[in-house]
Amino acid sequence: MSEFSLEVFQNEFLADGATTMDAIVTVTASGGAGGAAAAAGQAAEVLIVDTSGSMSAPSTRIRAARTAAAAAIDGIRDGVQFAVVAGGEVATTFFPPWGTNLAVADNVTRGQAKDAVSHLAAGGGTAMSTWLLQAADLFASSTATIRHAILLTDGENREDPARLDDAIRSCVGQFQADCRGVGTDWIVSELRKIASALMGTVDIIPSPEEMEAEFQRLMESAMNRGVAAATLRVWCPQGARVNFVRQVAPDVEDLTGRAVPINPLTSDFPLGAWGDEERDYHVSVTVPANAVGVEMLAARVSLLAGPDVVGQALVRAVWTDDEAASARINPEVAHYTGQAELAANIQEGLEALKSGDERTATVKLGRATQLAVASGNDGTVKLLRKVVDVEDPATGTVRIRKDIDKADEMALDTRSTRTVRVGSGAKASQ
Amino acid sequence: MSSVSGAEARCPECDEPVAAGESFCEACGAELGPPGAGAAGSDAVTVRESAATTCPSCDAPGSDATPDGYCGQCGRRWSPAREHEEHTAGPVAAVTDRGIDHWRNEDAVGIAWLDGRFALVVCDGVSASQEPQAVSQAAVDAALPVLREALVGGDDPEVAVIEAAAAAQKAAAEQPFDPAQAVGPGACTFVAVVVQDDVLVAGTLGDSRAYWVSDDGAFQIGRDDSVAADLVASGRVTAKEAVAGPGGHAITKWLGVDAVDALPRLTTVELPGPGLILACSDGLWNYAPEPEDVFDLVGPPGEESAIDLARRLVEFAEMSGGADNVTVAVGPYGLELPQEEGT
Repeated sequence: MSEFSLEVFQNEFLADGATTMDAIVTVTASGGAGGAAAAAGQAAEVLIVDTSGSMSAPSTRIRAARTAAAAAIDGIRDGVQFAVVAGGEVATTFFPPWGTNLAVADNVTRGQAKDAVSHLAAGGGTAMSTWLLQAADLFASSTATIRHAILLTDGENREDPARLDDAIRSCVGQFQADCRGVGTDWIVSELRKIASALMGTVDIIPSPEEMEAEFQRLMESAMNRGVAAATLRVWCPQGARVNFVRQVAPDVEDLTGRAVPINPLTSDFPLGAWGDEERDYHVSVTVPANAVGVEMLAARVSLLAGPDVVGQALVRAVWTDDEAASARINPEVAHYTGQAELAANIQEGLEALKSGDERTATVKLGRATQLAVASGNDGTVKLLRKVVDVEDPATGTVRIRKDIDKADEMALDTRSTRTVRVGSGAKASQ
Repeated sequence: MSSVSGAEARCPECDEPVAAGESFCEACGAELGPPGAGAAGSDAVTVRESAATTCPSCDAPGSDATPDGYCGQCGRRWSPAREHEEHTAGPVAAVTDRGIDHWRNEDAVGIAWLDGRFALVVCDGVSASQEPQAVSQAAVDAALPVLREALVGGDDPEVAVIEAAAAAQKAAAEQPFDPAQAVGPGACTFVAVVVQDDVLVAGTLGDSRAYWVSDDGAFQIGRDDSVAADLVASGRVTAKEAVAGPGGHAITKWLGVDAVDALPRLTTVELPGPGLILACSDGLWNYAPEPEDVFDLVGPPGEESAIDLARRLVEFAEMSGGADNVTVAVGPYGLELPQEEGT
């Protein structure tokens, strides 16, 4: 069983009359037994591979998809229930051959599955709603509690967007999905929408030969999740309001809209499955003002594994007339506020660039560069430098490059939400 | 909520229970002290917690408070434990109260009374220590039976106070603590008073005080173990200046695992005539630092019951600001006090 620990970073002091309290809550899980969950039949995995016509042009793509799928199948642990879905205009369960429910992984079934995916062939259109619904049907036939899918595509969804939105909605809470796009003909915002709703990640696989390693990595992290459903529970006092709850590490994901009210003072934020990992959350609340000297609990943040509270952290507020104490900005809060601003600036900058507004793009990507450099987010700096020429990182003075590679632009977009922890840079961003 | 705890009378020699009114122990034949000393029930103590314990911010009931000390409705830092507690035993009484500013009551109090003899004990948990409210209560809970036993047996009160402090120290030092925490292990002050026959013995560690108040005036029995008291003793500053100065409230002796020693400052007084004995935490005397202030506050002794006086003094401290927990224990000597008001 995983051990969870929660830690709070905040400046608890508020000036007289101040009402906004921000805190970073770090959740660390260790000692998880992902293997045990698999052996107990608690884990299920569905591989969704795009087999639309575009996957055969170039033909390396479908060949790489076969190899990657085989590598992913090798990574499925004994006892895990699994299936492979081929996605086109409609979705077909490619493995197991009976197609209605999941196979249980062992040497024999893995061999059969790999043999099957070596025959994956491309042809036809792209209707992602059918892929997701097919996966949902397969998961529904299973008793597994840890349900994960990997979706691979190379193209744009070719159906009424409303159908995809409906499908996503009906899959929320049924399974989690990591989405990967190969090449540059797919749409980042489309996959991000799926991944975000299904509590997974989105990324670009620029060339087919990188697919195998990526699938191995995804499968390994999926197999290491021992807790099926973690939940962040936030209690706020009467008269208080949650401004936002945002995951800020390892990447930025706004959870505010996912709040499930438990009682008038408490909301749950589903976090999906957990392995041995660390995630940070930014919780911001507005509390009623209190007299100087009063201490109150601004939020009680608990972590639930299934129905059980396995850890909690207290966000406190203390009103003081010591201006030096209340004016201090907590380094973690400042850092992650900057990281969220960084992600927003990249996405808005790239959006502006697409719509031909180079002036806005320059300002936004300049600010992003400034934030990324100051916070030591070297990965993002590297990606930014492929889209802009940096004249002065300190002031965020940049020029949009004339020769932007589409894959670089998409990589910057998909990875814009990746954050680094405090202390990665020379100093915090603010 | 109310509970009654009465120590069963026991033989001071062999610890066997003895019947009310017996002069000799049936088990060992030992003399049982002055007539009436062993009267079961005469030293019953009534403890009442305030019925309407509600959150100081939003009036939510105490049952809504969380175990880690917050109001479950408005989030105010608050513990309803010992929010307001009243003890009575014969004509002796005590009140302990959270006050205004502190989020919990870290003071604890105990009293015992037996046919004109009585004992008071007050411990004030050090706020900047771990679980001070538990340490102070443990210290009182350990000291009180020792004092009560001495009253029953008519034992040497000086020895009783020293042994009570030792028992309190043992209990305080046994409280668990986390060495990794920024603040040190739990600590508390100690004041115990035994009045027996014509003699008063007070033992103190830290800055909780005992006072003698008669028609002639009030005086502090013993002195504080504090930086301020040391300064006053040096003759260089007044009590007011010392308390207001840097480290004015720092105490130099306390109970707890890191105590310097647990030998109380012992003062024995032959009582000259009728009067009142007070034991209190600094939550009271902060607003009445000089004995004259206490005398002005109490007024002529004997005009109100001990519980009424204790309530009035606690109320005074709260009206004055209530910056700390307030505890007042009152016992009469040679005075017939009126009935509690409203009874």
